[in-house]
Amino acid sequence: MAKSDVKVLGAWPSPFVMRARIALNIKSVDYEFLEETLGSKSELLLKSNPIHKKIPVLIHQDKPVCESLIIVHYVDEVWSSGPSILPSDPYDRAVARFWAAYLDEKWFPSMRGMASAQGEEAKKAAVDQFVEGLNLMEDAYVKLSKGKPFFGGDKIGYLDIAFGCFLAWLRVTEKTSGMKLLDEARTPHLAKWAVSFCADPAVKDVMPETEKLAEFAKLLAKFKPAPPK
Amino acid sequence: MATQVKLLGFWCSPFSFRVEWALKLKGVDYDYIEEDIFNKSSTLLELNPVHKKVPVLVHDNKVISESFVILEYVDETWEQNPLLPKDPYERATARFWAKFAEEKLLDAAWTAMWSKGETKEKALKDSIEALEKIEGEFKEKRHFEGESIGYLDLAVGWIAYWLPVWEEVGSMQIFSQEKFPAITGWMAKFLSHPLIKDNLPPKDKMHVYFEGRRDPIYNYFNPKPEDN
Repeated sequence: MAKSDVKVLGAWPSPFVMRARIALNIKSVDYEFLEETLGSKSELLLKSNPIHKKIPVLIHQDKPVCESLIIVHYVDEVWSSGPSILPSDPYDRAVARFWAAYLDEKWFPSMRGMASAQGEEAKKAAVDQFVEGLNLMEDAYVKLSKGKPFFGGDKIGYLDIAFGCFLAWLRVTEKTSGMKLLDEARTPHLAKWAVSFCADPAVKDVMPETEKLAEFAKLLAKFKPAPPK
Repeated sequence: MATQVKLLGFWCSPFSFRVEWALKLKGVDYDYIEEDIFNKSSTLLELNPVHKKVPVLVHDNKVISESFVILEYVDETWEQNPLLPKDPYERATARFWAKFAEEKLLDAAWTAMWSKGETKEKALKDSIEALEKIEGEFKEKRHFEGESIGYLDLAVGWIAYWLPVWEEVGSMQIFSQEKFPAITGWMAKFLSHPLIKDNLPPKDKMHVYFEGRRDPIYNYFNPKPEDN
């Protein structure tokens, strides 16, 4: 398939963009990565995602697909001859989807909440939710991996992608807060999984280095975008 | 091999109705268990410890929570009368709009119902904007053609029946026939579908219920200061 057939609109720091790229990498799909500039949205982005105006957008044969987890499903379904991303059993798929939804709706907001929370109480609440989430994911990992290296088993799958994409930001949050969040003592399996995930061939070239991301985070803090809706 | 399907739901939850509609469309027999969400059973808390919410589907020993996750599970497990289209791009589109309606319309409409002042105004504005986008999509795509009701219809079905109740309870207007002709057409078809029209909660009871929720929810989010 011609490289220009598949484009990803995104930015290297975004965990959501990373999900799309990892999925394409798993399927060995060549794609053009069109990097958005911080602070401005390209015409192509506004045209492709007029509803949310957000990255990532996957453009396949000139048709846009938006929302990172929807993109991962799409990639899995279109390039069905490649290694599977979603598990094959409907119940396993449901469990993976359940946890991915949890991560996006409850856990990731608590990570952001840790940085933006006003006051001691709010901060503590965010940290508690965040740590509770890690404990839940540790249990989920033990159940789902069944002794194998990944949530998806022998190879990385949907939930590995949905969760692992946040690891770089998690490390940056550890740096800036001075707290150990992914703690081998508290969540030993996750700590080990994180290393395996980041080393995976489909992941390692798109996972930002912590230092570089930390610098970006500083830049982001200085640059004041419009408050989120 | 007998299959056992149980659904824990709440009598006027749009989320548990989605699942019921899906099961009925597929012709799946199930035991419905009514949960008192104000006095949650130990069963519910055991089955859904993370969110402690309905609906929860139990299929043999498998427990699934979160209505959209349940819809896809039902669709994949019982293949008759498919809910999602076959084409990956169309599937992505259906999922996108279901998520959009859930995140941008449902939350805002619900908030507009119980809130007051600036919060209400903003929620109303957000609801109308979201509904306008959905109107645009319905106009173009014509999701509901003939008898083939699907995933997106079930996902946004609450607009046809719960939204009018919330509008009354909240003394507000989000929807109008003149402004939303495509959605109006879809609503009529949806509500007259044989498997939908006989599977809706009683409207008068819904009014009483949501009326009764409005002020307590407002007070919960706006606790009175200690000294008046």
